[in-house]
Amino acid sequence: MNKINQFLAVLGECFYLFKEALSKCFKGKVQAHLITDQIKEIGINSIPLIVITALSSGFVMTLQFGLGLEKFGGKPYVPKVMSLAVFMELSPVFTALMCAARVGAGIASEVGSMKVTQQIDALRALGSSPVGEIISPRLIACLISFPVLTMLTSFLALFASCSVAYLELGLDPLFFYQKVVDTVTLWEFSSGFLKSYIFAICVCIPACYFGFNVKEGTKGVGRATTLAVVSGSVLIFITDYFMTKLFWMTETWKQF
Amino acid sequence: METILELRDFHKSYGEKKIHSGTAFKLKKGECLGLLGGSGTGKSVVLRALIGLETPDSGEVIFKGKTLSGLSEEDWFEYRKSIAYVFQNGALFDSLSVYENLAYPLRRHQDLPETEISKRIQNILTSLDLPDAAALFPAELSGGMQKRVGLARSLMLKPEVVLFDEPTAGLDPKNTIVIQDTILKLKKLGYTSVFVTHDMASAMRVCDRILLLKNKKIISEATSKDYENKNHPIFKFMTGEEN
Repeated sequence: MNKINQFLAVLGECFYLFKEALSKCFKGKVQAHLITDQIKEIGINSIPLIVITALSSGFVMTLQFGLGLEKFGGKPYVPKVMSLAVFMELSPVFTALMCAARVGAGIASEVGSMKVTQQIDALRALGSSPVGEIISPRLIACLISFPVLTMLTSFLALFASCSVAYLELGLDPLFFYQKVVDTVTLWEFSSGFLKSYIFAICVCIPACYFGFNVKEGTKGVGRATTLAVVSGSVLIFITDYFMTKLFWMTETWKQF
Repeated sequence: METILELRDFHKSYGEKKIHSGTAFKLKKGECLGLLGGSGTGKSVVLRALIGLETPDSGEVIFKGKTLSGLSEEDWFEYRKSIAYVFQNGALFDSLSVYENLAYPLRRHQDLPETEISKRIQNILTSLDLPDAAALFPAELSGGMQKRVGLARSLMLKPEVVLFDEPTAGLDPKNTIVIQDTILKLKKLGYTSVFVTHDMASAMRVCDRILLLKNKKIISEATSKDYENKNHPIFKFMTGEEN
């Protein structure tokens, strides 16, 4: 019971932190150069990792689907299955998980170190808001970077899929392209895009929260980093289920 | 002399551990007040409460007749331009150069042209014997240099009250004298300050008055007239003759 109370308390404090960070953004109290610095760190510097993740997941999934469906004569369905899987599920989730590991850990350790070395107190003592200076720029950068990285993952994964489909399964690239265009509706395309915004919050806010609440020096920084990655990843899986459910329900309502 | 800052009936606990139980003092305009006490007596907690980094369980912080306790974080911002805090380790922003650290409060609170910012930074660095430090990063500075840059940063907005948290701790004699001289220079310029320290010699050199913090409250006070009296409770305590 105590653990559940603690979990709910952390969740409540994360929500409060998110609200405060968001209000600083809307009040225009976030400096532009802080946001661009964070976009470089969170978005641009994540590109190599995202490229590797997208290409390898595209290669492997196509091979698995291709070889599996071939047994039932379903090889031509590979582009259809892959495009839906990539746009709706694989790219938002894989991108967010990779970012939870790289960005979440980076944010928690950086903020935690600032806390340990009294830099956060120094910000307050100099009349600045640590939320406005530290959390809001990172939140905005995550909200900008995650959808862009998700799109990049989607297209790279499909490119990888198309290459494997041609080289290993003998599917014509033009046929592959046509099937993708015919299959994916605007709603399916945007559902992955929408998920990435929620995942950005799931990675950024807990990482900032655990960094802000470091208590035991360097040991606490390590603990905060681990908690940030674990909680970010778990939140991604939980919210993914509920968002997928919501999108399916919306899809069903649209048919009536 | 008028009272500029006052701590009234300050109580503070961390969990079961009570740190302060009725600590109180008044700080007069232009004076340098020393706050002495053993380790863990909550000297830094007093300073943090004076600038709103710590919330009292009960009691009041009064600045120029206005009660600051209970203000929201946003409302404190205005007062933190007038009350500066010099952290024990400098607390410099490690991703910024010395120049950027010093420019930070000016850019945040004053609309000054870059030439003026640059001029002010060079002046203060020269006065603290750090003329070539502007381009360096905190990791490239010695402990003494970090403290001096921290001091310089806290003075950039020309505050009325400066709170020094053990500014001479861990410094060599030369750097200790540089810090002492700077505080004396500030006193001559009319700055009011609170000086938390273990260093009795520094306190006697720069402070007009010294308070002893013990058993969760202020138990003794020495003015400059008492500095020669080695039987004063403060000196007995600091030399270990009295516990």
